Amino acid sequence: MDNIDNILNNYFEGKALPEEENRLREYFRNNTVLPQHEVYKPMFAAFDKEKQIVSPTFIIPVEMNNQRMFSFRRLWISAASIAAIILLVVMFFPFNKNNSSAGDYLVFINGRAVKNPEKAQEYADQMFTQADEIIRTSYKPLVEANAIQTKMDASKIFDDLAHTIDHIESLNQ
Amino acid sequence: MNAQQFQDHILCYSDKLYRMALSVLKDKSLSQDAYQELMMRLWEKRKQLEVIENRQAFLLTSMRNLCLDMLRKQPTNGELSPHAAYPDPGPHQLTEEADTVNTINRMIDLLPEMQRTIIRMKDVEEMEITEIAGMMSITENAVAVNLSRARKKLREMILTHQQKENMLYG
Repeated sequence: MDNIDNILNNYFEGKALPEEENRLREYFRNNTVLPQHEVYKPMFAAFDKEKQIVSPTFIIPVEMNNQRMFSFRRLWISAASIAAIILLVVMFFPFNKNNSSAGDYLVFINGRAVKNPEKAQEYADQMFTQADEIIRTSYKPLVEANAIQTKMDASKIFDDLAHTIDHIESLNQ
Repeated sequence: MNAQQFQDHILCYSDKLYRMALSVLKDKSLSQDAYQELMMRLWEKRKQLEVIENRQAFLLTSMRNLCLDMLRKQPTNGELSPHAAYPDPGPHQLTEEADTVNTINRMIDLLPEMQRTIIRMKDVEEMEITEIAGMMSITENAVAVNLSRARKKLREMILTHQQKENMLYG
């Protein structure tokens, strides 16, 4: 038991090795403690008893769902704000066509993307020519109908006929 | 860090943290408040906990600092000077303190805060000197010195108590 006394001395000096301290704990947990060491038994028993103290229960707050809803709402508000800002910029920003560079030029003609302004102008001229032709040919039947209507005007026919009759009667007199 | 990870990586230290609070505050109700307060703070900052490597040291340090703040805010924190002697128990007190284990706990509570924290971390939580030094931000030598002083003071109080008992009961 000299060994236990030596370990106890080291223990109180704070110099006992971890394995020596474990040996002391085991020694004082047993019922074979020598009378001269009995005085220290309650000390090691107190340490063992404190190990059994357990904490109160901590209930984790159910915050995750609320936070997710909050995040979703915040995301929605952010998206709506960005959309509103873009709309305002599009509506009120003074675009200057002369400032746009050739690289930014892009128009869609008949579903085709055209980046060359001259090509786009050519397409546009062709389309205007076609439109003019369509309009002109569309008006031709209307002009002919107007001419027919003018020729077939009953009052004019009767007036012409009345003039012709008057002219014949004057010749007979 | 979600709820499950918080349970696995933080709440697993609950018992040690609560015992730390008890050791510093020496009051069950205050210790429960401190434990709940710390856990709530940790939960609110759970994202930052993921990057902490030594969680046990961090958590124990946080609990000790929180408890020390609580003690400072109290009008009288009940701390005795480091050289305070164990008050001699009267005959009536000796009769009441049949549970010698509780008597030992009361003796430990009479030690200065640093000494009783160190002796409990070493002898109750069975932490290494290196871990304790890191947690308390002091040198390993300072831990060893305070541990030795705490144990010797405790031995002195135990022997005094036994002498009184022997005188009383023969």
